[in-house]
Amino acid sequence: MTIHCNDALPLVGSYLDGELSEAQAAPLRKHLLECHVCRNSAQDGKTLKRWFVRSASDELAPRGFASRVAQQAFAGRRAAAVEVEETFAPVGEESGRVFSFVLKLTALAAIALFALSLVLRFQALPATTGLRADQRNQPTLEDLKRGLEQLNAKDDAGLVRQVGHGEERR
Amino acid sequence: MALQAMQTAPKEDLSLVEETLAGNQLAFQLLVERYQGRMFALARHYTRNTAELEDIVQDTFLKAFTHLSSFERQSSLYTWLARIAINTSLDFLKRHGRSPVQAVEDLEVVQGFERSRPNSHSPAPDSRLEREEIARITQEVLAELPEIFRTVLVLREFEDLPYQEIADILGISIGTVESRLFRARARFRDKLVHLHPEFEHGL
Repeated sequence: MTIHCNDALPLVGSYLDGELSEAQAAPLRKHLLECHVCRNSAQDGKTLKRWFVRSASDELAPRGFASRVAQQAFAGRRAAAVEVEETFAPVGEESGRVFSFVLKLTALAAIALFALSLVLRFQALPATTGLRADQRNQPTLEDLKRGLEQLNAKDDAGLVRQVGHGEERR
Repeated sequence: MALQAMQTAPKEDLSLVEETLAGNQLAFQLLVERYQGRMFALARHYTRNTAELEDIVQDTFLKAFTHLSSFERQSSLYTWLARIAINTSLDFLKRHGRSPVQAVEDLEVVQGFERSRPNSHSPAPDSRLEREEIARITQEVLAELPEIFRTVLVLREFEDLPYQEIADILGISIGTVESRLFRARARFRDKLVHLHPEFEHGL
């Protein structure tokens, strides 16, 4: 398989980086032997790679860098943990008293509110005396009948009196 | 031996990660010690100011610590850290309203380089000074490149990462890594010759 310059040139960098498979590298090698333009390009690529190798400088971290960073990282974690604890629990004596007072006040207010709501509820309910279905002193039919007769008797007596007065006026 | 080291390193990384998550500060310190050199070298390509560099690397490790529980055990710890370091570097430069080209240089470092810069009449520099000079010019040229080209070059040429790992760090395909590297190298060469024509006939 033969390749042309247009296909070969973009592959030169990958070839020098050792990133081509043998199936890709073999035809490129053959082309480089035959084409001096591409061969020069490969030579330039090698020179540039050598330039980079020569310009690589050892970078040293400052003394104690790792220890400082680790300390800072864990100090941050501890600070975050303390912050969470502080949110839920008072740390100082003064703030402890204030917290306790607020807690008691809140409890008292809750009890007062509960009592008030109970009072309001009972006040709002209708009087149920005499309306209960299970009441024991329910009047019997006889009682009702007697009461009715008494009322009728009263009415009759009233009528009699009215009639009597009318006759007297006449 | 190297192969053995490569095979055992991830295990050690994992055990240090687990120990750190369990609250062992020393384990995290060992983890930082293991990768601090590479993180400093990586972030160095985004700023030449020593104080800024230290801030960036410190932020990188603190972010890694905060999100350590989200680290996927199957991937390489270096890849994960490198991604954080690159993002932290770019965020840092953005926050300070400047591109890496404008990054403030540490005065002492600059003066050191200036002193070591050879002139045409001076004798041939020793290898260390030559190395420093080449490193300075490389940083100067890299800083002139768009970020996407600079990062891909840094990861390949300085970190020596395979294409797959570069693709993982940048969240791009291997094909994109190849094409970016191709263009990045061409841009680097052009810029180098433009800024330093003395290198036109051989780097």
